[in-house]
Amino acid sequence: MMIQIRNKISILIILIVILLSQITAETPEVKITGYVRGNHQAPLAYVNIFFTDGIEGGMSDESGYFELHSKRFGQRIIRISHIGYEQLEIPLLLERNKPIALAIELKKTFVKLDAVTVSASSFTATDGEGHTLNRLDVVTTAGAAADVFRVILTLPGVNTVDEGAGMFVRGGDVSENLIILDGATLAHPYRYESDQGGYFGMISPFLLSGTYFSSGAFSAKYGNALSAVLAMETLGMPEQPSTDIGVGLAAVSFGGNYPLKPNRLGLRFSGNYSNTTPLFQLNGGTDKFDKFPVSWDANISLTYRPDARTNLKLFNYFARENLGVYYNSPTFSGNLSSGNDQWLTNLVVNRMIGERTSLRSSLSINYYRQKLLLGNLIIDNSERLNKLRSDLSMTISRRMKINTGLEIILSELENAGTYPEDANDLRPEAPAIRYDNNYFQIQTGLYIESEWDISARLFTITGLRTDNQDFKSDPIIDPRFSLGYRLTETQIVKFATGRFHQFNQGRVVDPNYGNPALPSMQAVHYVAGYELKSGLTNLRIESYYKEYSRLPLDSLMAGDERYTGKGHGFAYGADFFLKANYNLISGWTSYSYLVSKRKTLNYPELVATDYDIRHNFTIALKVNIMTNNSIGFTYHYTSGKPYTPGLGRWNAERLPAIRRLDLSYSYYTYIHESNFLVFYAAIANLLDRRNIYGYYYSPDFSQRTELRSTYGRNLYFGISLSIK
Amino acid sequence: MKKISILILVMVSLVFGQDISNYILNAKKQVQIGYYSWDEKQMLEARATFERLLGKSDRDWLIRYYIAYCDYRLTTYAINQKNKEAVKKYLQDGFEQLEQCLDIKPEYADAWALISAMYGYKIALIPWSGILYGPKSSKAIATAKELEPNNPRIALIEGISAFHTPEQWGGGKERARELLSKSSELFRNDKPTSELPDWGYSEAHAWLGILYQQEDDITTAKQHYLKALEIDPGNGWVRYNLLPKLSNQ
Repeated sequence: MMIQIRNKISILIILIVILLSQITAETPEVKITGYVRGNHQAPLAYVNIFFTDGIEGGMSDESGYFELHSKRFGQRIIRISHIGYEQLEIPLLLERNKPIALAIELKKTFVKLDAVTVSASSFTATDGEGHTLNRLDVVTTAGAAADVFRVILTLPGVNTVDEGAGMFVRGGDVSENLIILDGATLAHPYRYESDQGGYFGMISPFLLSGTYFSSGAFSAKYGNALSAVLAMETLGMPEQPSTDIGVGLAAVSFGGNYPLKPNRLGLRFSGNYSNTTPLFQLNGGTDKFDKFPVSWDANISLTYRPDARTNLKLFNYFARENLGVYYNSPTFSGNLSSGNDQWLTNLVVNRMIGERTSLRSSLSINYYRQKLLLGNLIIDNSERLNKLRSDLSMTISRRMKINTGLEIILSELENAGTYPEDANDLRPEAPAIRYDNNYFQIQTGLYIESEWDISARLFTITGLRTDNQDFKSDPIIDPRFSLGYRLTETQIVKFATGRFHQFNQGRVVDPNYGNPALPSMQAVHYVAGYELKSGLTNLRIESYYKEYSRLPLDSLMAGDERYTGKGHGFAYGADFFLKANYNLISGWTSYSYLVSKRKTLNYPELVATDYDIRHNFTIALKVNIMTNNSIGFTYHYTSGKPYTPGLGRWNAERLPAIRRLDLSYSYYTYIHESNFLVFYAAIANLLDRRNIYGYYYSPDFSQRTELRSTYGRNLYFGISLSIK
Repeated sequence: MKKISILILVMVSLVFGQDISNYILNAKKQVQIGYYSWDEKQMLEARATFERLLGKSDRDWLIRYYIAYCDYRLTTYAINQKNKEAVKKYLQDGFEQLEQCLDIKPEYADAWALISAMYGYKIALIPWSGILYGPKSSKAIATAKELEPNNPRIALIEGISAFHTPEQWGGGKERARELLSKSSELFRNDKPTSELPDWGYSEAHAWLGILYQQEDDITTAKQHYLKALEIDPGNGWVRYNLLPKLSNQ
């Protein structure tokens, strides 16, 4: 027994001696030398060069020269690492008395920006670097009333046709945008909805963690719409408790964010009540309303993280609004009363599968009820939209990502009311067509796309999308492609193209009065652009061409034949955007040029569209004074939109240009360390300009009345307090 | 024989592990010397050493912290040299390293504190961005304090931040004095484990000196500068910059 132990100890000692001698003995070594160079063969100093299986290494000197020594022979790998450059690994075969000389060239790593950078015409609004606008920009833009949609109106390619927030993008109608919230489609994303969009966006920026807006040629994953996509993400798990209180001239709000179990379970809620009576009493205009616009909304969300890889969020939203406004047209002077209800419930599940795949699914129910009474126009519509969406994102390699997903949308519509036979004759006794129908639609969509960084300079997104409505036999297949080439670290040129479809909605496909067999509308986008992004400066210049086909066209025949898909059109233009920051002054300016013509609906020939606005210019500036004071100015110039001045003279004339200057002031400070107080005041329409947004004509065009600004110059103020 | 193999493995690990510790200690010392002697090369060499140590032990969280710490010091150097590109890349790398450090060890208070300090640099570069990064910086330092209320570096970073923050935003000289004095007191009783961060004691007194100097209290300022040198005679920032300027005042 003792002998056995002694033997074992002897073996152990021998092994340790051998091992230590291996480590410490002086052995011949092999020398590796070389030069490291960067862009344009410039020598790179202080580059770290080391063996991956050891700690030996060295650094290059001012001339890029380095020297390494290895006492081990055989296969070894050296890693060359330098901040701001792509890491490189070189396998070497090290042999006794065979020095190695290397010439190494490192490539600059361009800061990897997210996919939206590759796609043309995209803007993001999220805190952090690399985004077009941050949340503070959204909240403090003068004239935008802290409304995401109104801020988007200051971006190029987006036109405004009235005082509202309706987005008419690059020659497209307001109904041709896809608005998504956490994957749920918002069929009615506006407050005080009208056929020009609405007065505000439905979702407050204070509920959002990120916003992506693309004015064209967006990638397959976002979905299908003829013009643009706005994808918003709501806030997730609250990190610290806070209570928010806001009091303004026409609104009060209250909200809270509470981590119930830190990083596991969190609650957010907020509620707003708005009554515009004091606003009009202070600023004038009380004579315009029978019932002042009143609205309230509430939302509550629960976020649950059962484990580090899974996140569940249940978001609930409810809103109600009512107004009664005096309406004056040659055929009808009276009251327009309307009331809308909306609620949304959305369950979102995010889960990481393995290290490289993420799954995101959302199940949403969006209900909307609209009631409106205006002369012989009576609307009592309701719509329920149920949607399931699932997206899988797989990182294949450092350079490639595959996204795929599906969506199923079930829509139930119950419509009832009357609409005037002649759109210009609103007299209650004038002939009107009664409608009363319920119908059900199923839409399905499927997409796959790859985000591929072909090289450090060249990026692409290639995708394919298919959509179908009511399982028709002609599925739509839409290819999409975008390409970005980085000229330098700060400059990119982009090109994007794609085919887009949108299913017709409303009267044109009404089973009783329209043609349910109408094909989906089609647009093909081509976008080319240049972008400079250097620090906080962002310059973009883009041009685009869009071709429309399969648009609904009124054949003036009765029954199913009334609408055909033979309408067509085009739009082209150029957009310019510059955002800069000079510490005290920051802001952006945008200019758009647009030509948009269509032959569609009751326009029997190719004419300028109602939203063919040739020139649109915006400048939004903010001056920061003494750290916590900020003054903002926003100036809009929009050239006149077309209108039809007489029978058969389709959009032959243009309204006067719209000009508007808005001013805002905010003062923010901390109270007791972390409680954040903001006082704000805004003067909208500072120059008190009464813009003309349209004319109401009599049926024979012999008389007309003007649709002018609802507001003259008006003042609004309030405070908000965030208690932490 | 199996037992012998395990024993050998353990011994090899011990020998190699000892090496890693020595490398960490030396590189830690080197970055401090590099910073105090305003020697970019030394700081980069220390950073390179830390980078080589990655993946070689179970202490990657600490090594990532040190790489970020080198980035932090190199950012200071780059700001002074007005090298905006370098500032941007060091800050970006620093945040990435700290993120990875916290992925491994989410409760590491020093990493949270350093994140807060790096946000401070972002704000210093673009003052209006305080509205964006201020809350992030506050949240990071609050997390750090919650994890280790008596960590002297947290009080130091908070004190430096208060020094640069207007009073109405929760900063100011009084607040800075209070925090820097607290940091100095905590450092006095701090007994860090050799591998863990121990920087900041001398710096706390340097900042106290600057604070008093701005108030024209030359005597107290000098006391703090001398104390800083007593703690770390190699503090070139105090010896060759702050103290001579004070003498000329």
